[in-house]
Amino acid sequence: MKKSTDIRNNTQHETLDNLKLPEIVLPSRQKRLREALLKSAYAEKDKSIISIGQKTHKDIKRIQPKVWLIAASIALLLFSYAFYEAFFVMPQTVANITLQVNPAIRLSIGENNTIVEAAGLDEQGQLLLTGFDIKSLEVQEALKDITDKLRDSGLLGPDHRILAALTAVEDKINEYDLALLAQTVRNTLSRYLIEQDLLLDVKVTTLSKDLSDVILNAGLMPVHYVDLVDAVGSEMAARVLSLEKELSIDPQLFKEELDAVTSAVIDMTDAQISDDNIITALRSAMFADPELKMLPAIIDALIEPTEKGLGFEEALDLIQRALKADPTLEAFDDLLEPYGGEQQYETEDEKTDELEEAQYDYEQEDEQTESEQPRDADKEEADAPESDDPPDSQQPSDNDESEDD
Amino acid sequence: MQKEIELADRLITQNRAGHGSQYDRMSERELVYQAKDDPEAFGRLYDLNYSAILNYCVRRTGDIELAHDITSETFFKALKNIARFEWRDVSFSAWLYRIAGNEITSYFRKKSYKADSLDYLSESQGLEPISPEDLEEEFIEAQEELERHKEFLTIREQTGKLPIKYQDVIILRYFTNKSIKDIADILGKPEGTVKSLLHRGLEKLKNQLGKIRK
Repeated sequence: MKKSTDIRNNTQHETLDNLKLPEIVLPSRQKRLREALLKSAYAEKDKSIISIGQKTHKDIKRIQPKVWLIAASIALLLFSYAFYEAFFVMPQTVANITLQVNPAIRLSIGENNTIVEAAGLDEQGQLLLTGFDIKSLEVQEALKDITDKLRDSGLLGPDHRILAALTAVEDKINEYDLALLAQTVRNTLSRYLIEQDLLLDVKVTTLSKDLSDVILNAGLMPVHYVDLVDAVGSEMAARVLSLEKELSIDPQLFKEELDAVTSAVIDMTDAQISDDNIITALRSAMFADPELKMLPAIIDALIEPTEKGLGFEEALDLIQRALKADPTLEAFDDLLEPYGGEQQYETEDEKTDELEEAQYDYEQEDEQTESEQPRDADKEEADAPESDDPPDSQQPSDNDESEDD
Repeated sequence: MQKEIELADRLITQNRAGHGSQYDRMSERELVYQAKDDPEAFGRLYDLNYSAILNYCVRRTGDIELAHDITSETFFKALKNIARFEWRDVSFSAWLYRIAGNEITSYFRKKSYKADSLDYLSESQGLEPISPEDLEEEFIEAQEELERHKEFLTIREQTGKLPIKYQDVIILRYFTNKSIKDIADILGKPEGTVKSLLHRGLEKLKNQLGKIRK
């Protein structure tokens, strides 16, 4: 038995390593089950041969009327039970799967991993489900049927993606079971695509309750948020998406620009900027630019100095001052040149000088409302723009710590 | 129905006589491939894995009858779905553990368990009830074996109080001697996640054991 060193060396685990385990044998039950399983397998095989065409009218005629009566009674009982189930015992939905390729549909999943309800979330989704009954099917079977239909409709081309987002309904399913369900969805879809030789990307993600609420309020579909959740996780994605309401950004515009927001978040994460600081940066950028046109430029301008060693707060301060100095954002890039790049120090043009002056004037006016944080480093940079050296390396602030912990 | 049972009996006997040694020589992978069309190959897979799955269920639930029901359901589901099973993701035995694990989780969630397979098999495939004497004798022996392992029972009881995600990894690691990679395959989680769950789970278990030993 191979055990990892860290576990073996630890005395607290010796008890477990040397634990004597019971060896249970149930020979009669084992033998009996084996035979029943094999009989079942052979009967299935036999049935499939008969169904090809061996069953004749003669066989049917041989069935006696009494048997018909029993069969009819059973059928009636089953029908009554199904009627009772359908109208009196509504199966409880424990989770929802939102599936999006081009059409988007929502599958409500019951306790036994069966489909309780399927609804189209857009016109194409409704069209897809018209006359298509997947209720009571197991999730795997339903997904196969859906993907079959998508394939037949030509919607599983190489330029498509299959996105699925799972949410728990209230507390009816725990995190672990939701993850298991996500795994089932992922495996079923991936296996289907391999079997069908289709080269499509499949992304399956589980959403926290907070994130589900935000998404529901914002009317977002998986295509809008799956990449964001995939990159930064549910909690952080919920914080990013909440900015729409917080800053009263036009929901349609936010939806359209969510790709840019996602890229900005991923870029900042890659630059080791902490989650709190990412939110602060996005908030500042979106506040200054509610149309989100300059968001990538603002975030790039923030990342660049931090990658050169400037602390996040100093970099943000630069950006905020630039944003205040040029509320129209028309000369935003130019305004940041003296602080952001290395080469620009040597090639300052008149325009930059003017902008610097404008910023200086602004600082004078706004002195009282300036942040209390020391700006020595910034001033040094502003005072000595000809220097070839990158900005002074500074200790990253606490907020810049990686979120790995 | 009687005719079908007789036919199945005959086919089983014929197959055993003709191909027994052939199955013995096959690898698990070859058996799985063969079992898609050949029930006897599935029988061989059953022989190879029954004991491991039963003991996994016993060690997880501490209940022999329940463990047998879950084992029956596991193999029945495996038989039903073997035609669709692909080796790509996990091995057959890992797949069995995964099915059994899901059944156990379902039992823990609902606090009750019904093996539909046993009802189906006894009704449609002539699964005869075991005589009460055999049942009693086999059960008593199994129960005695279980009760002989007092330390195991204590640790199992405490492990059972942990969240399911920790139970999964600890039981697979220490009660079935699976490697980290095997556990990762069975649970469909990255090895790093398994290691971390194991570490945290063991810490929690240690605390619990510490409390009861004080």
